[in-house]
Amino acid sequence: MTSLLSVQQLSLLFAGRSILNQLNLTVEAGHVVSVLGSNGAGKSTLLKSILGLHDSAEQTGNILIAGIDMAQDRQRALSHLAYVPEQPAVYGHLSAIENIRYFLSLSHVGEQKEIATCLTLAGLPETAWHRPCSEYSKGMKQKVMLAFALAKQAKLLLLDEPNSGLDPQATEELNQLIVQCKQRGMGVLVVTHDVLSAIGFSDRLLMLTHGQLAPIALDQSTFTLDRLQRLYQGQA
Amino acid sequence: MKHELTLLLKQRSIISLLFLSLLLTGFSLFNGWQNISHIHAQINEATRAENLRKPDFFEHHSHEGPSDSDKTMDAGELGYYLFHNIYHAPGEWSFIALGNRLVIPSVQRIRLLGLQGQLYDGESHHPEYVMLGSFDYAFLLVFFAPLLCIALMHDLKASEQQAQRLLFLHSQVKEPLYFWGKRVLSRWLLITLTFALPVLVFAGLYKLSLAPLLRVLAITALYIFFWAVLCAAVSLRKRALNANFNAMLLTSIWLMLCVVLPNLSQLWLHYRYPVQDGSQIALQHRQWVHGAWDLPKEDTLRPFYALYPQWKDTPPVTGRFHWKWYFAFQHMADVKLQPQIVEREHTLMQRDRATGLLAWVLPTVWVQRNLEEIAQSNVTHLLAHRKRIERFHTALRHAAYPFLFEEKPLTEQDFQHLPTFESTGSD
Repeated sequence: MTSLLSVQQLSLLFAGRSILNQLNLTVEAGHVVSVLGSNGAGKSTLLKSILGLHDSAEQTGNILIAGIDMAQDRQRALSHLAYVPEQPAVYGHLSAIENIRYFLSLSHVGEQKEIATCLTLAGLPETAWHRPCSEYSKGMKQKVMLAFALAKQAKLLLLDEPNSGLDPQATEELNQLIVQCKQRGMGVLVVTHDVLSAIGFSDRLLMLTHGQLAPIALDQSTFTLDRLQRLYQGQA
Repeated sequence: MKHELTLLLKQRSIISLLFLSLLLTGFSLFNGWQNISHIHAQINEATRAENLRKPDFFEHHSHEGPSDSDKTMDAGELGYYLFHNIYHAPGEWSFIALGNRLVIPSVQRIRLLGLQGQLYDGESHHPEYVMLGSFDYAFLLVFFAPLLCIALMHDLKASEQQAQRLLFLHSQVKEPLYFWGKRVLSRWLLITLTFALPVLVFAGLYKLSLAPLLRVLAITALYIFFWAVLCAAVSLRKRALNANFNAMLLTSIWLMLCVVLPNLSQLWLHYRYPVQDGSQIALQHRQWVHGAWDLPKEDTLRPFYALYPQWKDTPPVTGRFHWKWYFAFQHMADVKLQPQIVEREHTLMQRDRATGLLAWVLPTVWVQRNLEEIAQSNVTHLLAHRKRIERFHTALRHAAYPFLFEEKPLTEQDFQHLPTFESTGSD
């Protein structure tokens, strides 16, 4: 199976403190991997490392995206990746179409796929396409970001707390979209606190504690509150 | 770049700021143009009045001869009563930087009397103009363009961080330097356009010369580029995530570069190269002239004839008053003041050269100096204007002296051949 993301022996020191410690992670095409972890465990730091946004002096290990070493060719590696931050990064004064067009121009990929098609796939109502994004709900903005990922034809999708601040209906819609991305053969890495959603769409669930990832069994019946608390404290 | 421009031009606040800049630039050009038009109107009116006055003058001051065509005039009366207009005519591009034009009279009237007393009598700085300056293109570019740059570029990184977009953007861009470079350049381009477009429109409307236009545009683009780079350096540094701090830092730099340092350096230049006040020269001239009334005529005429031996053997000065003696002591006051005038001009040039050196360090001074050069309102042009007046006065004296010293009356034909001050349209 093609590994779209391969993190090998990743260690990261920040202000003399070890945040990530010999961490290994792979995400295959058509798979969703979710990373859980308490606040400050290093989930967002892990994403930043995958995006190549840490000083190389602080970081050791290898990160390969679609087989391309991030340290060797960041530009080419990034062209296979789409990142959706916790707060959707859309420009409020631009419409959905203008936002996607602008983001595509940043990646220098041009319009690889019809933006309208991608917005339809992402489930954004057509009536909203030309309205300024400042008028959108958070769920709609998330859909714009996912439509961008589709338009970019990214192979790997990184999602940072995608369900945070969404109502149950919007959460469900977003979860459906993640599943659709998976079905399209994309590899998806989700960093989240929403355990129930993660169980719903993930192929693998990992817990980040003490700078390392540990697998968690994907059985909803075993997820008692007590077990979750112990998992978050790294006592599993 | 196209997408960056779209991103910018979709923001109402940006559009408002750019529109304001466009409006202010247009108004500054219009205001400069109005001032220059007013000067042109004054000059035209003065020329028209002089053309009417001169024939009348001969008519009123001439003495009857056997016939109308034999009317003559006394050279002394001509020298004393006839005023000649001299013009400080603006250049084609003077509206861009009014400089000294608002404090130096555009029309002056001089007689055959001592020149320096008449010239410096009119040199009085209007305190309101000196304090406020004038709202022209140079003023707007020097002071307002940097503020516009600061408004548009102080939060390049901080605004993205505040919107929690910075990480996402960095994850998308392949070359951060290229990405931020485009952002800065798009802002620089828009600001420059708000200054350049009205200038281009003015140049087109009034069919102004191309070379100065290109210089004005180049100065504008370079100066705004300097501020864009400065703003980028502050707002894109590694820890530039506090927009308020960036704005405060950049405003402080603006205050230093646009107000404090140029003024301090001007103070130092005035201290280092002190120039005698024009009114002091006028006063001293008057004292020489007044003193001469009490001196024996020989004390004035001897040095005068030493300078102009060609008039030494003309009819002698007799009686209590004689025009020859009067104009001789007027001129000798000029001669005695000459070293001070030379020294003053030399010091002004030294001060100007020092300002030129300063312009290499202070971009505000560089812009002001270059625009004033294009507008022909700088010290060099002012001194050149003074030289032209001196040449005209000398020509006038040389034309009048044969009649004065040989005690020949002027005919109407002689009167019409007197030199006139030629206004070239650029002094």
